[in-house]
Order: sequence, then structure tokens, then C-alpha cells
Amino acid sequence: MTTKTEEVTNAQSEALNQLIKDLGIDTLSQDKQNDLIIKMTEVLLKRIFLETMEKLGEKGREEYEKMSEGEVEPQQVEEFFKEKIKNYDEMVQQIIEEFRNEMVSTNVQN
Amino acid sequence: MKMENMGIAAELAKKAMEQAAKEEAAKEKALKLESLKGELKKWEENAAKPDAYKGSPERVIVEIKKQISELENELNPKTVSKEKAEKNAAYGKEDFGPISASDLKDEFVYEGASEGFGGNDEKVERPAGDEKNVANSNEDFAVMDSEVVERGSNKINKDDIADAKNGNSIRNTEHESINEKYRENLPALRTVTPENLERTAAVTRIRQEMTDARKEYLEVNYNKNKAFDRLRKYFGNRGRDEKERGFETDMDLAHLRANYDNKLFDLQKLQIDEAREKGATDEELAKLFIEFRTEQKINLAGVHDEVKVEQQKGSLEGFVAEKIINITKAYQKLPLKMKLGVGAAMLVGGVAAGATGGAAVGFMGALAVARRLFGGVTAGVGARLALEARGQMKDRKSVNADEVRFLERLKNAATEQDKYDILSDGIKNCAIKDSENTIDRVRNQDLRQQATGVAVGTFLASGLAGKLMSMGGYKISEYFGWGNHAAVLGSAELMKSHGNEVPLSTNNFDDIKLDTPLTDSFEHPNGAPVNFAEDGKINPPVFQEALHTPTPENMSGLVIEKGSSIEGALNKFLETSHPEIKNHGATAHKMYTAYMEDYIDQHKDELAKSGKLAEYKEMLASGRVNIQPGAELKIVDFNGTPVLTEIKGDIKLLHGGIVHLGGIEKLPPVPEFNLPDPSIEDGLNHAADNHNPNIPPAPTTEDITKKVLEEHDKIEALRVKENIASSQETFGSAQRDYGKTIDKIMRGHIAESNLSSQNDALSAAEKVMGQSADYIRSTDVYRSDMKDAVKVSLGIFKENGTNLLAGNEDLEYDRAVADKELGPKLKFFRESCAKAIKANVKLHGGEYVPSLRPDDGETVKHYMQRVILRTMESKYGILRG
Repeated sequence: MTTKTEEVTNAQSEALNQLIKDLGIDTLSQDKQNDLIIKMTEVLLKRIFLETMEKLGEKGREEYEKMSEGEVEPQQVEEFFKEKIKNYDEMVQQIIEEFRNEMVSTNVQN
Repeated sequence: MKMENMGIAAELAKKAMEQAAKEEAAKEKALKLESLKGELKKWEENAAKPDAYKGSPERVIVEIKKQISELENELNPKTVSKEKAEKNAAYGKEDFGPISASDLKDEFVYEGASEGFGGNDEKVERPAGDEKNVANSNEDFAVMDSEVVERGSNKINKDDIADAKNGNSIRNTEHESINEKYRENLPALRTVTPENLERTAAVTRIRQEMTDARKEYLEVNYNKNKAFDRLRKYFGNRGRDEKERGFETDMDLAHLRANYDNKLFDLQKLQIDEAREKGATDEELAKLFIEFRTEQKINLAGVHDEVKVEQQKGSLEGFVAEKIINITKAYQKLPLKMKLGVGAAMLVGGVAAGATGGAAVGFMGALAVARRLFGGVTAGVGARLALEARGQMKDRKSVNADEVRFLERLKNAATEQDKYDILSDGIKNCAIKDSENTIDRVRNQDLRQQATGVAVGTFLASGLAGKLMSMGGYKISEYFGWGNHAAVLGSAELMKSHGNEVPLSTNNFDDIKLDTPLTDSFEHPNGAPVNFAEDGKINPPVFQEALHTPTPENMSGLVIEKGSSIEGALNKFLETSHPEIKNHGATAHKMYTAYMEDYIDQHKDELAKSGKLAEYKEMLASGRVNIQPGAELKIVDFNGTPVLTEIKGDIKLLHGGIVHLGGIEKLPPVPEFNLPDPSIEDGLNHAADNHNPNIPPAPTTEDITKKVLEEHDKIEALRVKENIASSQETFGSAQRDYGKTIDKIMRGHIAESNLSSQNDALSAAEKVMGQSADYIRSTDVYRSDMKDAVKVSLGIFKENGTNLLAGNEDLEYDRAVADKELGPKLKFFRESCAKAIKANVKLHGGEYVPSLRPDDGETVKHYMQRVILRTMESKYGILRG
């Protein structure tokens, strides 16, 4: 019987493999695959943050800045964003989807 | 305090970057120097061969030496202090002498081509009690290629360092040149060739250039789109036409984009070269392509966001940038497994399970978002199901199928060259054609979010607005022929997928064919070819030119303009219509000779009957043809090769002086004059008999003949003038071809197999230049000018009726200059000529002033003749650079 953690790990691993295949980079070496995934994630993280900050507006950013100076739980930050930005989840989802569309496309020319 | 620290850190970082840049630049120069030395050796060896190119290899050699000298001058003065230079001189060493840290206190300069020792923290292990810190002390500095490291009065050569690395003791040997022993201790260096050294340097350089080009492009694009956004707000919802009017022209964007594509292509080309050298397998080639492609997308996306951050004003500016750096750092510090986990969770679309762990908490907002998404998946839902639900398996199948096809193509390729060509084509598609339209997707993402119901029309040129309106914001590449497929598959689907119903199907959208072969996509939508430069790169497009560039269907109407010649007109045509052809002048000449050979062959009997066979043969041999303005040349394109198929109009052998054929001087045929008709003459004489004093006397036969001859002379003079202009044009074109070939030789390493073709190109250009110059020199106007030039030059030396030059003609020029009276005159003469030449000469690569320095032992007379000749050649545009 698998534990919840194991299930999560398996799902994560499967998702990663799938992503690598979708990106068309599964023929590359393991190191190269990892390198590319990490680079993509960095860019995506930055993009989500940037879009979030833009949507917050000047006043919201000031609040966020104050909040992040102290001890804060991620859930609190998350709630803050949801409160300040309408349809925040959808916004993030859309960013991710667009980013994926940029990255996941046919890598081979006919 | 915190700010101060940040300031210091920033300053340090800036200095470090500057130092790294300097180091890189110097390294590149050193690599280039080594490469040039290899090239010089190759040319010198080639020149020494019995079957060597008999043109002007010395010109190439001189040019290489010049560049070597320049590079050495750039590297050496900075790396060797005055004091050290003196020391070196004392040791009989010209360059790369010992350098101490004090020499380099202000500016670090990389000195040599080799990798190896000299890292700032290089510490040589020494037996106890005899340890020497070779580098990075206050007084000592390790030197790359100087072979000598100085520490106070001790001088340690590289052998010592190498020995020390091997655990041996350091010897105090002074100033030894690099030797084989040193190289043996660095196995990696033994395999370094000028080619791969240069490639390494080129990769570094092009990578940087590509990065700059990409950023420049995205910055301009960002600002333009911001401008559009402001206009959109101003006009509210008044419809798309108003918005489209807001766009002016995107020529500069298109230019920047082409620049970026070219850099990208250059970089990948170098990578292919490397793969070629390594003998890469099919699979490795495919991997190379995929890796390049994926990295390009990531970089593009990253730079897009960076530009956006940099362009922010107000409180967002510094704050966001700082936070983003923190997020990146925090992410980078995670263990590999966790980094991949975060990536998987985020990149699959927020549906995968994700216990990202405590370290992720530090990511503040962004990762909190991710974490929220990760937590949304229950343990019972597998990622595969989620992916299938999103239709992503379809993507996977598509990738698989394409990959199989690509590998299949590689495997079916007949030769290794074919394989590389297939890969190269794929890369060209990727870099230039960009059929996935990645760059447009990335750069337009902001607009997509905002432009609901609005077509983001991009006007490339006002006259083309109608056609371009239909193509939407994604279609810059489309317009250039970079991606018909992307136009349909990329933007339409993408737009749809984001719920933005953009009216793409206006005007000509339906004309875009889904089944257009990729190669066809390289063609301009209007039929004009995309402006490819050498090596398949796209030149920044010039739309008006592109629109007027003749296509294969309408190439036949090439009309000879006044003052032009057949080859001149062909050359002009090739320059605009066939930039991919390397040597326009030579190609024009070949087109002409091929036509004439065919024509003579096919019309031999006819020409013989009319007595023109010899004339035609001479026109073929000499290339000197007189053709009337308005005559037409018909050119047909056969598989990309332009062929002259017809000359509509009369052609005649060009007269006007001595014809040089095979070294034999022949007088040109006597011009034909038609004497006045005898009946007219009689009539005129008869009229004279009945002379009316109120009527001016009728012209006599002599008068008429004189008049006819005068008119003839005028016409002839005009014709010669036009021919001179045409010859100058041909000469200039051939000289440019020659220069381009030389440049090419200088830039790249020409393989032995290609050397002969380069030599052929040089020979062809020289031949054309020689013919053009010979014609001009043979004209009366040139000869007359030459006499005047000599007269004026000699006049400089006459003072009070005394010819200062007389009796001194055979003096060596250098000695004559020392003479009190003669010296200033010679100086004035030389300066006057130099000025004349400088005013007239413009060659490739900028202004070029030919050296007027006398040769060793050259007499005053010979020197003067040479200078006058060069001045005249300069005046007539036939001076060889």
C-alpha cells in the first residue's frame, strides 16, 4: 500500500517525464533535460511574480512589501493575492498555460 | 548602511563584469592573432608551391601581416610596461615579456591565446620551505603566454609551473620561450587548432551579440507596444481601424528581428561545425537541434520578462527586480530533486501533485501561488489522467511523429554532407523562418491579454497596410516568408485557445495555404524573394526594393541605361536581385561570355557572311562592347542561376584606342566615315554658281567634311566618356568583389579545397579590373590628362627657369629629400599627390590612402612616375587598393 507521499512523488515523477516528452527533449541527456527544466521553471517563477506585482498595483505592492518584511506563511501571502487580485488563480493558470504553449511545441522541422 | 553595502557590491560586480569583458576581448584578440598566424603560414606555403595562384597572393599575405601587426600592437603595448619593454629589449625579446602585478594595476589584460596557468588563485605546490605563490600576490602575476612569471628578481618560466604542478621543483630559469615540454604537460592544448580556437572565440562573441540583438529587439518591441496601448486607451473602443492607424511603421522592428535571427543562425552554424568535426551521429545531430531550439525558447521568454522589468517605472522598478533576484536565488539553492519537482508541478499546468517542501516557502508570492496549485491535486488523481484530459497526449504523439520523420530523413540522407544540410535547413527554419512563431508568441503575449476583440495589426510600411492588415500582430514573420504554417497553426489556434476571437480572416488570409511546402515559405508573399545574404542569412528587409525586385517571371526587362555597359548592367542587376551570389562582377562577366560564346557558335555562318565574325570574337575575348542605351537584356532564372539569353539591340566592338590582346598592341579599326553623296556635292557646287549676295554662301565640301568630322568627334568624345564611366563602374564592382573575397579569406579559414575557388574569384576580378583599366588608359582623354599631370608635376621643380630636378633624377629619393632645395619641393609634390589621391579614393572598409612611401633605393624619377601614375589612376577610378 502506497502512502500519500509516495503517491504524490510518483505522480510528480510521472508528470515530469510527461513534460519532458511533451517538450520533445526526452532524447537529450539526463543532465541536459534537468538543466532545461530548471531554466524554464526559473523563467516561469519570475513571470508569475512579475504579473502578480503588476496586477497588485502600487498600493498593493507596498502592502506586500511590508508583509514580506516580517515572518509570513505562504498561505497568508496566497490569501493576500486572492483578496487583491480578481480571479487570481485563473490568472496564474493562464500564465502557466501560455508559458507552456511557448515551450511545448514541435521541436522538429519537417 | 545596507544601501552602502549594496552600492559597494554593485560597484564590485560592475568592476568584475568590466574586467571579465576586457579579459574576454583580449582573449579573442589573442585567439585571432594565433589564427592569423596559421592563416599566414598557409598562404605563404601556398604561394611557394609551383602551381600556386599567380594572381596576387602577396596581397593576401600583406593584409594578413598587417592585421597581425595591428593585433600585436593592440595587445603588446598594454601588456608590457615601458620598463618591461626595455628589459625585454635588453633580453632580446620583442614581446610578451614578464609582467608584474604593478604593470596591471590599472587594467587587466589577457595576454595570450593559450588556456592554462595564470588563474588568479593559482598556487604552485612547492617542497616545504620553498613555496612560491605564483599569482595573485601584490607583486607577482602569472602570465598566460609570456612564459615568464616574475617574482621580485626571480623569474619562473612556465616549464617550472608545469613541473611544479607535477610535483617537481621550480627552476629559476630566465626568459625561456614556450616549448614542447610545456605543451606536453597540457594535453588539452595539443589538440587546439587555429580553427577551433577561432570557433571558440566566435561562439563567445556571437553568443553575446545574439543576446544583445535579442534584447534590443524585445526592448524596441516593448516600447512600441506600450505606445500602441496608450493610443488604444486614448481612442477607446472606436474600432480596429483607429488602432491600426496608431501603428506607424515597424521597419526598425523588422530590422532588429532579422539581426537577431542572423545571430542565432550564426551561432548554430558554429555548433554544427563542431558537430561535424566530432563526427556526430544522426541522433546526436537531432539532439543538437532540439537542444538549441528549446534553449532559444527559454532564453527568449526570459529576456522578454527582463525587458519588462527594466522598463517598469515607479515603485515597481527596483522592488520587483530585487524580489525576482531573491526568488531565483532561493530556487537555485534548492536541491536538484526539489527544483525538478517544482518545475514539474508548475510546468504541467498546475495539476500535478506537489509537496514541494519547506524550502519552497521562501519563494514568497510566486511559490506560494505554485504551492497553492500543487496542493489542489488529490492523491488519487494521477498526472497522466490530468494530462490526457488536457489533450496533451496529442502533443506527445505529434512530437514523436515529427521526431521519427526527422531521424528518418537523416538516415536516408545519402552522404554526411546531406545530413548536415538537413540539420542546417532545420535550424535555418528555426532561426530565420521561425515556423513555430515563438518570438511572436512571446512578444505578443501582453497584447493578447489586452486586445480582446481587437486585431493587433502591424503596419510594416504604409503602402502595404492593406495586405498586412490581414496578417495580424503575429505576422511579421509571415510577411517576410518566415512562417506561413505558423500563421495558421500558430496564431490562429493560439488566439482561439485564449478565447480572444481575433478577426484574422480578412483580406488575404484565405490565400495562405496549409500545404505550402516549407521551402516555398521562403518566398515573399508578393513573389519577390526574401533578401538572403551569403550563407543563407536574411538581410534586413527593404520592402520597396523587395517589391520591385524582378521575379523569374518578369526578369527579361533589363534595359541598358545611358553610360552603362552590358556587364555593368548585369552586375547591377545581380547586386540587387542575387545578393546570395558571392562575386557579382565575375558572374556578370561569365554571363556575358557564355552568351557571346553561344551566340557566335549559333550564328557563325551568318556572322562570317556579314564580315562580323572577327568583331564578335574580339568582343568576346576583350569584353569591350559598345551597346546603345535602351537596348534590352533578357535574363532567365534557371534554378536560381541567372542566365543571359538575349541582347535586344545592336552591339559593336568598342573602339577608342589601343586594344590589348594577349600582350600584342593593335591599333583599333579605323572609324568608318560616309563621305557626302556626290550628287549632293554637285548640287551644292551648282548652287554656289548662282550665288545671291543676300544669301549666305553655300557650304563647301571642305566645310561639310569639317563639320561632319567635328560632329563625329563630339559624338565620339561623348561615347568615350560614357565608356569610361562604364569601365569605371565595372572596375569598381570588380574591385569590390576582389575586396570581398580577400575579406572572406581573412575572416575564415579557407580549406585547401576551397582555396582554388577563392583564387579563381580573385583572378576573375583581377581580369575584369585589368580590362577596364586598360581601356581607360588607352583613351585619348586619359593620355592627354597624363601629359598635363607630368607637365604640372615637372613645373613644381622649376624655379626661375631652373629645373631643380635636372641632374637629380637618378638620385635616391631618400637622399634627394635631404637636399635643402630639392627636399621641400619633393615634399610638396608628394603631399599634393597624396591629397589628390585621398580625395578620390574610397575602397571597401573605409577610406584608403595608398602608401606613397618610396621603395628602398627608388630613384626620384621612378618615384615621381609612380606617384603620378597612381594619382591619375585615382582620378580615373582605377586605382587598385
